[in-house]
Amino acid sequence: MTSVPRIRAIGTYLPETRESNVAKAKRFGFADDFLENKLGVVSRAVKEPGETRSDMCLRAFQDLCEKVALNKEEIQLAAVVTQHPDVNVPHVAAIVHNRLGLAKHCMTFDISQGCAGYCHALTIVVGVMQMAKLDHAVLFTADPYSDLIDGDDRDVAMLFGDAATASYLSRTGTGYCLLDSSFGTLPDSYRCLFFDQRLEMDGGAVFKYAAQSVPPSVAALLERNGLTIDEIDCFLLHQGARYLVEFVRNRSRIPADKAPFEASSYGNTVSSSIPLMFQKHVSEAVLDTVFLSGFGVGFTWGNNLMKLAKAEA
Amino acid sequence: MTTPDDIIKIMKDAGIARGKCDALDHDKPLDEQGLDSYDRMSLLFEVEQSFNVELPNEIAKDLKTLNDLVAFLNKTD
Repeated sequence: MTSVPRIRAIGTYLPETRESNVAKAKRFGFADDFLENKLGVVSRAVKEPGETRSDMCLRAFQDLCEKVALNKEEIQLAAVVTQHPDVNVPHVAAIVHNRLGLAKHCMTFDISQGCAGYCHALTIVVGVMQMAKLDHAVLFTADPYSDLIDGDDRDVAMLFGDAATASYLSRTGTGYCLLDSSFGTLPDSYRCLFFDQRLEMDGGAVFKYAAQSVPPSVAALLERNGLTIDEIDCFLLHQGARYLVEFVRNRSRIPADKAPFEASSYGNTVSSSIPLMFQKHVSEAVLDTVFLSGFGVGFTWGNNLMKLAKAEA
Repeated sequence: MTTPDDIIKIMKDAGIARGKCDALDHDKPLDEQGLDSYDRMSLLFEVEQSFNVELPNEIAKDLKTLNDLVAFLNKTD
């Protein structure tokens, strides 16, 4: 155990069911180009009723096993990013651990974070791996909002999609290492996305907080590492909405082709949005440096600077 | 003294409501002239940044036209 942890593969689960937003957009009185050019979400991935977070984690894990040779006995850490666990007690990671038949020596915990959850969790998991000298970990994200939303609420009804992911980290093989991270929480902002009986969102506040906070945080992390935007191959920004991604991208002076919007057919999948995009780059292992930026619930943000490490010959 | 043209310049520089800025009626609500909620959020953000003012919801909801915005900014000068 000498080399640093790296993401070796990312398994994903996107439910096959899609709900179109076209009729809803008409009903809510939005202009024709709003769906495609502003919100960006034309249809949403929707899980089956009764399908739990742990069910979705297992499906993402199944996809992970098709991408990388994985020995379940070796997994020493399983963490789940979610804010809506299957039950209040125990944590979802313990349920996933049991259903996957993971080993007794495997540490489990959940991380309560939203749209910036993957960036937070990646830093936590890598930190724990380093401090506890762990060699193998799986980081899950699963926070489907479809059963939290009032379908008649125009602020949220067309935005969110359901998904789960499973990222495998180990210390050998080709993968993406975490070089540096940065985080923040905006004071007096937590009501902007709020769930009690149903999900409420102040879209104007979310937009404003993101516009204020994210571009400076991206610039600061680059500067701290002596890097420029030209030296980053790809920016994977949380897929909040097309207009939000484009606004953050433009404010940060990132070229359009380096920061895509890819969620038009499945929606804003909260903590799964970044790993859903990252998985193909991890599989291809071509890009040298990738910048991850998540932002939302809290209002919080997190950035990860990732660098490709090739397998030692 | 801020004028509607100052606001329109900010909109053009930020790429807000592309192609619609020059035809805006200064006294007509912006949402009746083809600006959607995202255009409005961007405009309010850019105004806050440019004029170093705060536009909380309780104030922003009443700033429906270009002249509403101009009057507010000149009052806070």
